[in-house]
Amino acid sequence: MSEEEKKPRLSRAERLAAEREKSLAHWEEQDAILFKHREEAYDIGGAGQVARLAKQGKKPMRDLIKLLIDPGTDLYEVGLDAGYDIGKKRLYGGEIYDSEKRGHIPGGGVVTGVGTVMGKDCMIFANENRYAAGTYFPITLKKHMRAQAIAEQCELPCVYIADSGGINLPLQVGCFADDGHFGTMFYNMCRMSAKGIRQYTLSTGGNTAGGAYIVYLASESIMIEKMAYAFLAGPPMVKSAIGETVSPEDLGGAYVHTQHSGGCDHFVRTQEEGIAKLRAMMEFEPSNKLCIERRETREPKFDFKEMMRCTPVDTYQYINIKDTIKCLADDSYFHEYKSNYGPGRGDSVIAGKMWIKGIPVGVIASNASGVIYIDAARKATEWMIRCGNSKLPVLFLQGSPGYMVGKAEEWGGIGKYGSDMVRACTCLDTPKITYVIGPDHGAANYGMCGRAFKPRFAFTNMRGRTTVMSGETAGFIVETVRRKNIIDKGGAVNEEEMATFRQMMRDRYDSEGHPFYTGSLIFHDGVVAFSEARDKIARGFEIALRVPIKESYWGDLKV
Amino acid sequence: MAVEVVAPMPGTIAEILVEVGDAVNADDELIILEAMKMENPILAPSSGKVAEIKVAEKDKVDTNQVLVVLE
Repeated sequence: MSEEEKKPRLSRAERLAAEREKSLAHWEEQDAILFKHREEAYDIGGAGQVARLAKQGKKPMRDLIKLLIDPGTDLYEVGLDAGYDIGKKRLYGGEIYDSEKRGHIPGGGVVTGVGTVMGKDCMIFANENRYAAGTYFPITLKKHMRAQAIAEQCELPCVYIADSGGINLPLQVGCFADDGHFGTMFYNMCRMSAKGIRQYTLSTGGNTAGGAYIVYLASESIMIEKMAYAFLAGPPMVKSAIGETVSPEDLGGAYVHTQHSGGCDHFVRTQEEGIAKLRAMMEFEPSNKLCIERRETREPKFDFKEMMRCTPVDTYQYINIKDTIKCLADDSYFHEYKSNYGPGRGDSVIAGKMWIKGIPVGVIASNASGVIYIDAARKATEWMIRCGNSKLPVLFLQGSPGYMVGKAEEWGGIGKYGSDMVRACTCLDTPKITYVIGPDHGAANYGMCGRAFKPRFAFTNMRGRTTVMSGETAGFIVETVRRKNIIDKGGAVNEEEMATFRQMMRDRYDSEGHPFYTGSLIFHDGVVAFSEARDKIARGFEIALRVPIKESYWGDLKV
Repeated sequence: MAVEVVAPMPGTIAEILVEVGDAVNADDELIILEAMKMENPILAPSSGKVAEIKVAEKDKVDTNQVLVVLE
């Protein structure tokens, strides 16, 4: 190699400076992709569907939600990424969607999110009637259940804007009989109302068969004249069953259920009137509470663009997470726990606390390579216990590919200390929010409060990759097993085939771990752009802190 | 006084960023060590001159193995 061709050696500062601008450009581009991705759900069905609804005197659901929530506020949407290319997913139906030509349901068939109505927060559910008549697919139900779970945990009143053909019949096997299917929707309504969490329904379309219960089971419900119908069986089925000929309006229209059956409580003539009635109901709800001492908000000294600059392009590259924290924290102030413990090993997890929009929160954040060593695991567990004991909500910034492997760590007890982390994040009974910002693999997903550990909200940014292991490792392991199998059977390894296979495994893992893939299956509540991160996290804690923080019981820690 | 820069973890040398004779400042990146599929920069603990590089790219190293000697 000649002198000119040699890479000039850059100092750490120079190297980082060069990378900062590259990173900024990359993440701006990635977030632009994310915003474009969302457009598909916003505009599902296009102008044709909007025109079809207009003919029935209906507005698209997103327009109704805008009318419902207070001016100047935004819907805190959850699960927007659901349903995209669902027919290509190797889970939850997959093929069955494709075979019914329903392989792509941007938004998952229902709009869910927290909105503010007359100053009171509530969970809003609106059937996406621009796609397949608002029918429920398996993924629609998963999204619906997730929103109901949030509502129940955070004691949010529920507002259903119903216009659904009920279960999508060709996909009934994934919709009807199991726990978490259609019936669970009603079970949840009943249980929540028994807990004093009100359930309000505005029916603005068909509610046939089981779907009618969303009207009947509500604490109060509204039907719109000549637009909303609720019946156990529609006119064609009534005709075939008992030979009776009856119009939808006379069988189960708004006047029938408000004047005669009493199944519905309020009669209105237009969608706008219905929305006004919902607002009137919400006005009686108690004011929002925040069960923590909040101080005034202070803006960070660094904005989201700095966060983009400090986030390496490659998911598997070293990150200084304190650069991210400084962009999230009020005043960019971070109080770190054990900052110099276990040099080079303890700092793969950063622990501490900060204020975010005036709310004090604990922080457990993957740092550097993110690989969790014993020292880091112990520190994380200690800090979670301290946060729980001091009733502090906790933000997990997850970018860890796993716990450190090898003889030294095993002998030292990495399994034991890792399991302590898993137990601590499980038993930590304060509101938790997880934001994946890098590799999210293996037991580190567990110890860093992955979906299974029920954080109040689980988000990811475009850098997150959630799979059991990295594509690289998976390719290696599966290849090794395959090689052994071939050799054990006395065969010869075809190297070319093996290379193709390894690449196929890598590609599969890389695609399955992508935020759009995991979002489509609702493994998280949403992909959050850098520009949205601070607001989304702070608002999430506000919602979660509607209910008093519980005592944490730590169970049988090993220590 | 010679300062030995050691591997904090077992892994593979992904990239050597310095040459013998180079002057380095504290916190300069010397080597990229790949471990657990992650890139870990190995930084100079203090300023000095690179006296010796004891590894080559693609070498497997153990924890505490000396990678670079600074003086």
